[in-house]
Amino acid sequence: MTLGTMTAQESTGQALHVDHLSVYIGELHILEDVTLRASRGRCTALLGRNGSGKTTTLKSIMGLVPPAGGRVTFYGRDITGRPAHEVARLGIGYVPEDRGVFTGLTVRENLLLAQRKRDDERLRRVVRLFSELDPLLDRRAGTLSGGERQMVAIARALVNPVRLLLVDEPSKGLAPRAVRRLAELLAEVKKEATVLLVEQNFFLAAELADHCYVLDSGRTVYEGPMGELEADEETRRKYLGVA
Amino acid sequence: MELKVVVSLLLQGVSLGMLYFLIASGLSLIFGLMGVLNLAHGSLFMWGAYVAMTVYGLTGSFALGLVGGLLAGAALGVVLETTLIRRLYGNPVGQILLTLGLILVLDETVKLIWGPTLLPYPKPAFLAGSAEVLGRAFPHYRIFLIVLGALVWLVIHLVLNRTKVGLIIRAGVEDREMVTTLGIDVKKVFTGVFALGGALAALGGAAAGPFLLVYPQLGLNNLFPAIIVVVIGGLGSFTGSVIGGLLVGVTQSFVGYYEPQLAVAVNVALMALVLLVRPHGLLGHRGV
Repeated sequence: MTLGTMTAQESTGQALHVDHLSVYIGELHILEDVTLRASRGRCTALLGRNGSGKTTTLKSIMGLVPPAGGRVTFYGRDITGRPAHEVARLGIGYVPEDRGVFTGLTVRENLLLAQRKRDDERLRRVVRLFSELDPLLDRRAGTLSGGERQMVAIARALVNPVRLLLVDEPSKGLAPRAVRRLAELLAEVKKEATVLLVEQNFFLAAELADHCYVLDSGRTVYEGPMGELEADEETRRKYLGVA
Repeated sequence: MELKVVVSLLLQGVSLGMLYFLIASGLSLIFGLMGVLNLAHGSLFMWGAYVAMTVYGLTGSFALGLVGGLLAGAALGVVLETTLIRRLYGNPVGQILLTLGLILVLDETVKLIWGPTLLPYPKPAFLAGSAEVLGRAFPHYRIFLIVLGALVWLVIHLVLNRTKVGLIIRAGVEDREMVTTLGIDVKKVFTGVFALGGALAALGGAAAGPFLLVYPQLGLNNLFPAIIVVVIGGLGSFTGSVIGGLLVGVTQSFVGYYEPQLAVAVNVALMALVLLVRPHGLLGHRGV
């Protein structure tokens, strides 16, 4: 695949820096002092149990949940609290936990809606990569299976030049075969774009990610190379419930 | 019942239904996309009638009157959304109080400008006659209302289904937060949809003026049927508002022929029946 998402200068260094991020919802502290970095051209995993603050972290980066404190910078540019449409236009793609596919639109309409500048060639390349979608282009997205919807959601995030892809629980609710295909596709995507991946499926995250952070009750409790966490059984068991 | 009476009542109901559709479609789109139940929508309908009547009176052109009414509705929609309603997104109680207040302000302003009495809005000469349908006279003006409603439906249907703006509106009705994450500034779309809703309501008022006459309670009297149409069709569904409008218009026409005092009550019963069978309305949750 060649989606031309990263320039040569962007292929090394730091894409995203989340610095001491705090988020409250009402009186409730959802995130407290979360700090993380996503290196250019790498896949960084954000792990943790349900309710640990992973989704809120992504939403806050994307401008969907306003932070109470801290800073988010994207290629050195402060994007803290910027509205989501501005964040997206900087080249940040977002695949939410519930896929966010528009079920009343066809697959083609879902893709065309997302494309900010008409680029048929790019659209063709994306459809080539997600080859299962080709015969489904004129089907209403509401009739697709969970795996197919997930493909639409990721494909939709790639129809514009994307410098950072935020992916929230992509394997959730998918059959094992669909998870395998998803892993193949995300492995292709990470060759071209920086990926910040929230995932409950530890083994999928271990396969894709180079670096990881573990959140627990809204705080960062672990940071390190993915390989180290794979070897650290105690941390896995304590914070992820994975032996 | 004789066939000619049935056809006559059916045509009468369709013309009334098209008027309801014009008011209700904007109300439905605004609610579907923005979650705002704009109770002042009927007042925009009334403003359309007053402005169209005035422009028609000044220029002698019925078409210019319609355009004037439509533009006035669009402009009012933009002003109300950008200055007042935008501050109350996500606050339904605030929206209800605000739009109730706007009814008072808009209706009283009409009285200040045009006075409190009923005003004549003559039909243009070319629409004043009648056509014969199965031996019964059917007014040209009602035929005009049917054609206008069908044209508006066709244009908006094409915009919604064949353009990028339409795609954004259809997607926004389903999940507006997701639309923003695709780099689309939903606030601008909101203003546009409010303008479109206001324009449709005002065009309805401009076209209804010669038919219903023009008076300061015109908006309030037509708000209730419009809400019934929106609920029957399904909130947020443009096609639903066409079907709802026609159902309400035709039912009202037939029931009104036999039991005039039940003509309005039957629509409430129809709404209750639809909600019992389909709690989200006929086309609710099916997109625009």
